[in-house]
Amino acid sequence: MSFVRINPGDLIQAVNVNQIIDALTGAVGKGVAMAMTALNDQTNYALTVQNQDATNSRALLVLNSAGTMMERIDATGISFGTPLNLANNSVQGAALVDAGVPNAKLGPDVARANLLTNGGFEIWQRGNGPFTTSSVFTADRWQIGLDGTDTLNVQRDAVNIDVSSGNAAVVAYVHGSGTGGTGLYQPLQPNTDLWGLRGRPLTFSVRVRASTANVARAFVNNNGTLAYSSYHTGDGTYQTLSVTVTAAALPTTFNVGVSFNNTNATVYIDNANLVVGSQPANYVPLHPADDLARCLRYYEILGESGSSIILAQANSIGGSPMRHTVYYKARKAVAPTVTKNGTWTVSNCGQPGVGSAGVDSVWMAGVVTAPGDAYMNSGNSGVNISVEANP
Amino acid sequence: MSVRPITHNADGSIDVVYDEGGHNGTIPAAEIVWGTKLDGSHDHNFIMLNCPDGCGASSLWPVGGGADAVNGQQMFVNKTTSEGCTCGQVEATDADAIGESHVRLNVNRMDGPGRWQLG
Repeated sequence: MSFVRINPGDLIQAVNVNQIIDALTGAVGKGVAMAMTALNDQTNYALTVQNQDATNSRALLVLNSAGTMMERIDATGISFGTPLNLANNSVQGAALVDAGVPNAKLGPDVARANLLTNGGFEIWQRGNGPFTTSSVFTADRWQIGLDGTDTLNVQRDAVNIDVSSGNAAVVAYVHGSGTGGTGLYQPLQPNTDLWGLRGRPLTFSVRVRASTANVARAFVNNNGTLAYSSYHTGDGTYQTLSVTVTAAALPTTFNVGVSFNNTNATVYIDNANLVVGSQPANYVPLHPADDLARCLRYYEILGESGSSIILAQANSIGGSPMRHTVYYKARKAVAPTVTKNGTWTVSNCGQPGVGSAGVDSVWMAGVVTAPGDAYMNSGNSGVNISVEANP
Repeated sequence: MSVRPITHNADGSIDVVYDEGGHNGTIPAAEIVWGTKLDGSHDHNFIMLNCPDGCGASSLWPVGGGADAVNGQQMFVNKTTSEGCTCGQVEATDADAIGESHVRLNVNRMDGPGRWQLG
């Protein structure tokens, strides 16, 4: 039923009065939707609502059928119910409160500083593998841990990579008596190296690909307390697995990685990320120079190119020592183990020996055996000096 | 990688692996030698391990543990408790705890508190 216009002098129909009452009380099926206010006026608004009460200024309240507020305009401001659907690209950044976007509101595509070294598995200074021994490092800073009779075979893989990656790690896992403790992980040492991790909320994420379900999952060893992501579903695609923890105040152990359990499988691992905060962040590659620089803090090879190191000294007599300082490419996290690899080419002296090793240099020594030009020269591939510091 | 200890045997020898060369073997206790200072004397901050394969590789291990804190520090503790320290502060006849404390002190001096990995 619709309203009927009442003209001056007309009797007001009872039905019309009832219709008004019904509309005001919200009776079902009664009332008439307010028509769009049509106006052809350059200065006035088509609709203006004003409550002149200075205290609350309650101008507008819109409710849904359940009585839930959808929009409210009053002295406290403009409030909206949920969900609030705004058109794409409709909010200017300047409208945001300064410092008003907390970490928990960030999406994974918001780049954040990655605390891992070689998170992209791009750098393999120790070679391409296979690596199989427990506690041995594979790709730089990624270490094997074995549980029971489980075995792992870790190699560099440049084919089965994640998007925009150069290398991944391919892990052949053979399940034995392990109960989930087997993994490929990066040890972080908040007590000697990465002090800034202490007590912070941290989220570890990693890209994992497997064709077998319930084998691989991300994990964090937070001072002995293990936290896991869900298992990879085994759909044969790269999936992001993530774990969020709050690091212990004084952790002696903080490891992040991928653990394996339940059945044999081949698993590909790439693009790992550890960020401060409760939300995972997609891996963003470092410039190769920066990526390598992080790795050099823990491991480096001096004399990678053949015969590129020579330690020489002219001597008038034999039997005296010759000593030379060799500087590292990067300062080490702790005093390193220094290894002279292979048999060097020498003239008028013996093989070089490693003297005291500091965090930024080491001295090498040899004994001169005859007068003249004495030298010790690194040779072809594998004859060099390696420096390794694992805090 | 390095010539690195993986097993510490009761007779003082250690089983080692040298990953680059794919070598492994046992180094007798007598061949687990202290590092050498400039003046030729022994240095209790370092131990030299030569690859038992004879390939020429040799690794100088710092008391802090270098590439492997647990096994590196254990190697120093075993050597110090069994034969004393080359510095003279610990005798072979001293209680094992004295040798271990001495090594722990040297670890802290080298790499700082928190580096000690043994129980």
